[in-house]
Amino acid sequence: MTADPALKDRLTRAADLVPVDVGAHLGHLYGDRRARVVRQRIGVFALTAVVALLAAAIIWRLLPLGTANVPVGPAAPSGTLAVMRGTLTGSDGVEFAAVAYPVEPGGAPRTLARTAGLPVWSPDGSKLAYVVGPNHHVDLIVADADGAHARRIATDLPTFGFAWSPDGGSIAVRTLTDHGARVSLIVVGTGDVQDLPAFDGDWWNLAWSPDGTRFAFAGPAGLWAQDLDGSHRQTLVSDLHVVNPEWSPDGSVLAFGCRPPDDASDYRYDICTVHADGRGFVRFADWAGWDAVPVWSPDGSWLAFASDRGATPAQVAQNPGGARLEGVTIYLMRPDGSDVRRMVPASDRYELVPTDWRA
Amino acid sequence: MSTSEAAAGDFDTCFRDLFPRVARTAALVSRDPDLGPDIAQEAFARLYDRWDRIESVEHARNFAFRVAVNLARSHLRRRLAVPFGLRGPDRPQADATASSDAWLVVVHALGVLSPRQRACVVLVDYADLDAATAGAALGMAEATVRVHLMRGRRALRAKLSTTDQEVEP
Repeated sequence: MTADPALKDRLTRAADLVPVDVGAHLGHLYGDRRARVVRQRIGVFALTAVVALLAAAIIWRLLPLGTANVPVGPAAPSGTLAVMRGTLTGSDGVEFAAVAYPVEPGGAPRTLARTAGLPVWSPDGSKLAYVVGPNHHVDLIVADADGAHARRIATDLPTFGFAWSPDGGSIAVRTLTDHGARVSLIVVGTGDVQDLPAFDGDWWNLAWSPDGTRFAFAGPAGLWAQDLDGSHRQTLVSDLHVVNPEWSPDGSVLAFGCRPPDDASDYRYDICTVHADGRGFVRFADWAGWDAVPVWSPDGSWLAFASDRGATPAQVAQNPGGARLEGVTIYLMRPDGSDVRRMVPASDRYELVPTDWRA
Repeated sequence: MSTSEAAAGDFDTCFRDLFPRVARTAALVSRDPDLGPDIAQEAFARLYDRWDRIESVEHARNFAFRVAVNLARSHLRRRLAVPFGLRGPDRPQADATASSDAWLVVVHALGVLSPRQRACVVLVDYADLDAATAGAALGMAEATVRVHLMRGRRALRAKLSTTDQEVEP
């Protein structure tokens, strides 16, 4: 079977736009070979040592974290988490579903949408928003809280998360202009779009304060907050790569994931918190792996987050450079970093990332 | 000149002949113009490691395409496995390419194909591999490639046709 001439022409014209510097790549390849061989030899020794150490550490750590040890009583967390569940689908990759997970032990998960990312309920709990499609090209969907009556309200967004307005009437998303990112508000009822003035700075995630007056922006150089009209910019965290900020229910504290900006592996993240006035920054660095995507309990007394701290030693060893993060599941902790507990055992068939929490 | 130096000389020729096509194939399969050359670089690094076992130009070509397409599909899996900016965007967009209508239209149309259909269409209709060679690169039977190719071409033609009609004045 030979090439289709018409398709070949279209594909070739598009592919020719991809810049390729053959000489530079060839020089880089030769220069990289010696370092690569050395790294491989060191890696064999290092991997053996790391696996042995991690196995001991994880066994020590997991024993007190089993669900059988979760205390019950007034301090116990409750409610339901919206969770993004990634399931392997053979060679075609990973499919994401939106699933409701009861926080109390013994509750059965319930699928809200079979293909969905970043499910988040509206502030009043009556609607569910989520995205479908690959990064940079997602469609925004709004459905009833149980996933029924889904409808697409925006398409092909270059968004990295979105934020419900406190009144539930609109959703803020990141859109792109020739001059950088800006915030666009999508009216849930009509799908109408209102573009806000451009906000300075390189950012990819935003969060909307509970009182409706401020956005928090997260990006490669830190975290800051601004009024909706762009005024009163305040740096909250600098010199850190910040992702997925979320305001506490009373608006006094922000939780987020962070890592040093120069960490090229892009693997180790820690849960961090900072007060809304920029004081009291805390980084919970007790796990040298992937802790990210914190979400607040409705009463503000707990944080749920995603972590690979329960992964097997083999998974932990491959996660920094592997094709996917394995062994990721849901953990809970107090906002001061205490009382860390695993909510759902890790699985070798799927990963779980919490994205919202309602009563 | 040692044997390895002689081989490296042959490798240079092979690299210069094949690298652009492998890089652009990977860019189309991953739908990421920045990523294609990086993937091709890794594919040729692996080819270099086993150059003394490469028997022919065809062998080298098939190896490079196989590794590149598999890496491109792995990249898709990684992007899916850690999606939606949970760790922040993994790389900036290539503005010149990303803003070109010709690239955007084709990449958007390729997005309606399944990963397997996309790989088959790109390998056969862009990279000029025959169905049997594409099958060897993708780990599929030739007949399976033909099925994916037929369905992928149909979907791609339909999407491109629709898009062309939308942009006509």
